[in-house]
Amino acid sequence: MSALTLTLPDGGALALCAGQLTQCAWSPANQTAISAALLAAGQVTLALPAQGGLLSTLSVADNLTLAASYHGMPWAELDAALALLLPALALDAAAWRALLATPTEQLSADDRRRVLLLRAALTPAAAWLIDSDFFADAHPDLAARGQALLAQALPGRLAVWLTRPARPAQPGAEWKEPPP
Amino acid sequence: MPPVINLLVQLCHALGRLPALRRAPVQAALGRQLQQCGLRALPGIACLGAALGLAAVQQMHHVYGANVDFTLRTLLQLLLSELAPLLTALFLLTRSSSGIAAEVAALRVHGEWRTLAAMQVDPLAFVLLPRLLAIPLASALLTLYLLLIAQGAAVLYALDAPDQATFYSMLEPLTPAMALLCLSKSLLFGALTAASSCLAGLAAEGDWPAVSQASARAVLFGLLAIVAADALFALLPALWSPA
Repeated sequence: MSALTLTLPDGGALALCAGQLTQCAWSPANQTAISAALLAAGQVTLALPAQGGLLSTLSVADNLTLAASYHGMPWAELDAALALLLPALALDAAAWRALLATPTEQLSADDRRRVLLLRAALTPAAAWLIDSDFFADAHPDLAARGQALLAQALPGRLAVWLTRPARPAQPGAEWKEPPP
Repeated sequence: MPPVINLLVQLCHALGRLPALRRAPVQAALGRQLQQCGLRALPGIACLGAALGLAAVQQMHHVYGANVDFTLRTLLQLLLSELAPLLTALFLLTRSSSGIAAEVAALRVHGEWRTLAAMQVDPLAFVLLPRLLAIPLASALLTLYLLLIAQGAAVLYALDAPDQATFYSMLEPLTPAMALLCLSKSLLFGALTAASSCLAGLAAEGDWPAVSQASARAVLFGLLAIVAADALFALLPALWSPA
C-alpha cells in the first residue's frame, strides 16, 4: 500500500505515505482510530508501544515470526532475513540464543524492544504504529541502533509516529526525537 | 444479541476457519495443543487406567466372586460404554480446561487479541481453532489409551496364566456399535470440554480477576455439560425404543 488517508476522532485528516514517518499526537482515541483504519485497509500493522506489544503465550521466536509466517513468508526466508538483521542490533550468537531461550513475560525492557524492532523489520510490508515513548529509558546504544534499523527498513511502509507530550528530562538520558 | 449467543456464534465462526490450517503458525499452534493436551497427559492417563483396572477387578471379585471371564467381559463392556470416555473427559477437563480458559482470557484482558487482529492474524483461526480441534482429538486418543491400559492391567491382575478362551470371552462386548458409541462419546465430551474452555476465556472482560474467573467457569460449565451429555446418551435409547 503506497498511501492512505484517514480521519481522526477530532475530525482532522491524517495522510500516510509509504516510506514516510507520519507524526500524529498520541491519544488512546487516535491510536484506536489509526489501528482501525489500517485494519480496515487490510494492512498488517505492528505496534511498537511503550509497554507490552508481545504475545505472552508465545515464545520469543514465535512472536518474531508470527506475522511474517502467517502471511506466507517461508521459514527459510525468515531465517535468512533474521540472520541479516541481528548484527544491526549488535546481537551475537550467544546473546541471540539467550534471547530465544527467555520466556516472553520475563524479557527485560530492552530485550522486549529488540524483539519488537526485529519483528517490525522482519515482517514485509507491515505498517508501524510507533509510540514516541518506545525508546524512552532505552539503553542509548539500543535506541540509536533501533532508530537506524527502523530508518533502514522504512522504505515502502506506512508508519505513524505517535507523539506523546514531552517527558521531564532525566539525568543520563540521551533521548532525542527522530528526524521527521 | 445475548452475549452467550454471540460467544457461541464466535465458536462456530472459529470452526469455519478450517482453511486457515494451511498456514504454518496455525498448524504449529495445533501441534502445540495436541502435545499439551494429548502427549503430556499420557502418564496421568496411564496411572488412572492402571488404578481403574486393578480396582475394578478387586471390587467385582469381592461382590460377584472370582469369575475371571465375567469380570473381564463386564469391565470391557463398562469401559467401552461409559468409564473410558467419561473418565478421560473428566481428566482432560481438570488438567487442561482451566489452563486453556486462562490463556484465552489473558489474551482478551491484555489486549493481545487486538494485537493479533492488527497483524491481520485471525484470532479465531490462530487461538480458538487449534484448541477446538485438538481437545476432541486428544480425548478420542486418550480414551483408547485409557481403555487399553485399564483392561491390560485387569487382565494381568486377574489371570494367573494366558488363557485363549478367556480372551475370546472378554472381547465379546467389542462390537462395531459399541466401539462407535465409545468413539462418539469421547469426541463429544472432548468437544464440550473445548467449547466450555474457549467460551469461558472469550467471555473474560476487565482485569486480572477475569482470568481466574474464566478458569473456574470453564471447569464448572465443562463438568455440567459433560454430565448432561452423558445422561442424554443413557436416556436417548430408552426414549426412542417402543414402549
